[in-house]
Amino acid sequence: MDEIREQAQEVFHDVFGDTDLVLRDDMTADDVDGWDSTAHINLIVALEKHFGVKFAMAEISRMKDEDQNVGGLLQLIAKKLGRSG
Amino acid sequence: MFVAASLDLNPLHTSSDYARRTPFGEPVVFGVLSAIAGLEHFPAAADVELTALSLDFRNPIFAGVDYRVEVGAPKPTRQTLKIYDGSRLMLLGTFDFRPETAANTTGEQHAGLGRLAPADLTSAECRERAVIGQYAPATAAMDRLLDRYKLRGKGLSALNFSALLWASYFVGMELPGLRAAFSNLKLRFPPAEDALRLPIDFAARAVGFDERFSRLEITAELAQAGRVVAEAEIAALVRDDSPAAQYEATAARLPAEPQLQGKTALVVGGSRGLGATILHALAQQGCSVALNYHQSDREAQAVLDAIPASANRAVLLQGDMASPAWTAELPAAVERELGGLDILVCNACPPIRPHSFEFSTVERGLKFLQKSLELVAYPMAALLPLLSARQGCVVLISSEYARTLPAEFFHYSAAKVALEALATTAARQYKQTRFLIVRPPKLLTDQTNTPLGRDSTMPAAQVAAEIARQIADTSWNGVRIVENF
Repeated sequence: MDEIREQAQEVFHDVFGDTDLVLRDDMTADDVDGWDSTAHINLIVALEKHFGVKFAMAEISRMKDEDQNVGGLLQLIAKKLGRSG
Repeated sequence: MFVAASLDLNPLHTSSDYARRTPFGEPVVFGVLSAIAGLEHFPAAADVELTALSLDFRNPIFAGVDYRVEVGAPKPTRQTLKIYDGSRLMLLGTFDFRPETAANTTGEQHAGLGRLAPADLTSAECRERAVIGQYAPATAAMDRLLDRYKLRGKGLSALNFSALLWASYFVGMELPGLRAAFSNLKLRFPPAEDALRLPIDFAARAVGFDERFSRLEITAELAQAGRVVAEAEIAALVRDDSPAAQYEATAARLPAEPQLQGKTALVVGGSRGLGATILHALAQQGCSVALNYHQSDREAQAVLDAIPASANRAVLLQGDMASPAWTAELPAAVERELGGLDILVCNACPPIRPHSFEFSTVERGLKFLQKSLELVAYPMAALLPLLSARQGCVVLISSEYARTLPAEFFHYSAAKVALEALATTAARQYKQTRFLIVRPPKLLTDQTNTPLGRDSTMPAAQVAAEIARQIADTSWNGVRIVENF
């Protein structure tokens, strides 16, 4: 999971143009400057390209719900990669 | 000036009439122009040459808004550009430079070479497309642009600017063309000492399409004299038409036997979306209907044309419901066209855009609030005496946002809550009139016709059918709120 987090952080740096961003499990879209609907699409596309996974539309929409956070996103990536969280 | 230089004539940026029918509601500033304007804030840089740039067009930029520009230099060879609306990031740019090489600002003059009208391609037509051609910016206008934004001596060459203008032109005019919303641009420039030679040859092809987002990915090469001078990676969203109101589809959800036979109805804001669908539902249920619209005459006529000739009277009533002068004459117009009024549907609303709540957005939020209230208060106040005389019904189209109050829609939620209070207060005074407050969930309309906006929308016909049922149900009086469809 640490490896996934580290790689995802690089993707976040690239998408949000902020190399100081440090991912935390409890982080939500509200905690990241510029994480709006358009950035969300860019983030999804970048994560999919980097990890070679695909998110369903329902998973994408759910990610921005108030009760969803970065930890959940990383676990979803791990699940799609067939790795335990 | 930008249009003249780039030859990007896409009406999303140049036509209020066209832009009104898109999710943006009004003309959007060219993304590349926004980046160029931001470059004005870059420091002078004599001995550097641009090697690559990346632009993320995060949110639409509009004229008349004060945006905040931040420039940074995270590395000696990189400049960043961020444009904000309050705390909302609108554009993110990174520019990488090669040191110790001066940008070549010389080049040929050209009157401009490009299409005269944007290609009108659906998302299906874009997917496998390849486009080869020649392009030249209008260099006299380009020079004026460079002077206007003080862009000389900042490390960008005439070729770099031409490539930027090409990118705007290509996305807005060639692929996707008319239905494009520019999302991302990456340009790489190999070392070049040549002056700009025009026209530029370009070869581009679509390399991927993401159905979930209607997102088209394109790669392209720009060349002069057979040598590649720039490589481009482009992402653009493709707008397909949101579905027009379908009379038959709406009718299929309603009782075959008309439940509102002989009634008269006026729909404020009935030229598209939910308003058009409600108009169809009421016509199918036996009403004579008047469709109010302000500017969308083609769309309004199409809504009326879809109503069968066998239905009762259906007329257009063009005018600005936010105008006290116009709505003062409304009762007489309604008497003349319909002979009285049984049902008033208040559906009109200004274009909705997300705004975070902060000092810089308060003024815009208040303007939205005022316009929203005017579009309901004036016609309602003008027509309640007529409605009351027939024990009629006011239908106020509110929103589930009046209950859920999401962040970034403070103005919209406040407007809907205020309108519900207005209707409820009016009900205390006009006891003979019923007030139906409708809180639909997200519907697929021009306003929500965006990649994530389309997800989990409800068909407008489902809401319209429920409204017609509620009006026909005479077991209730006073105020009723409808949230289940």
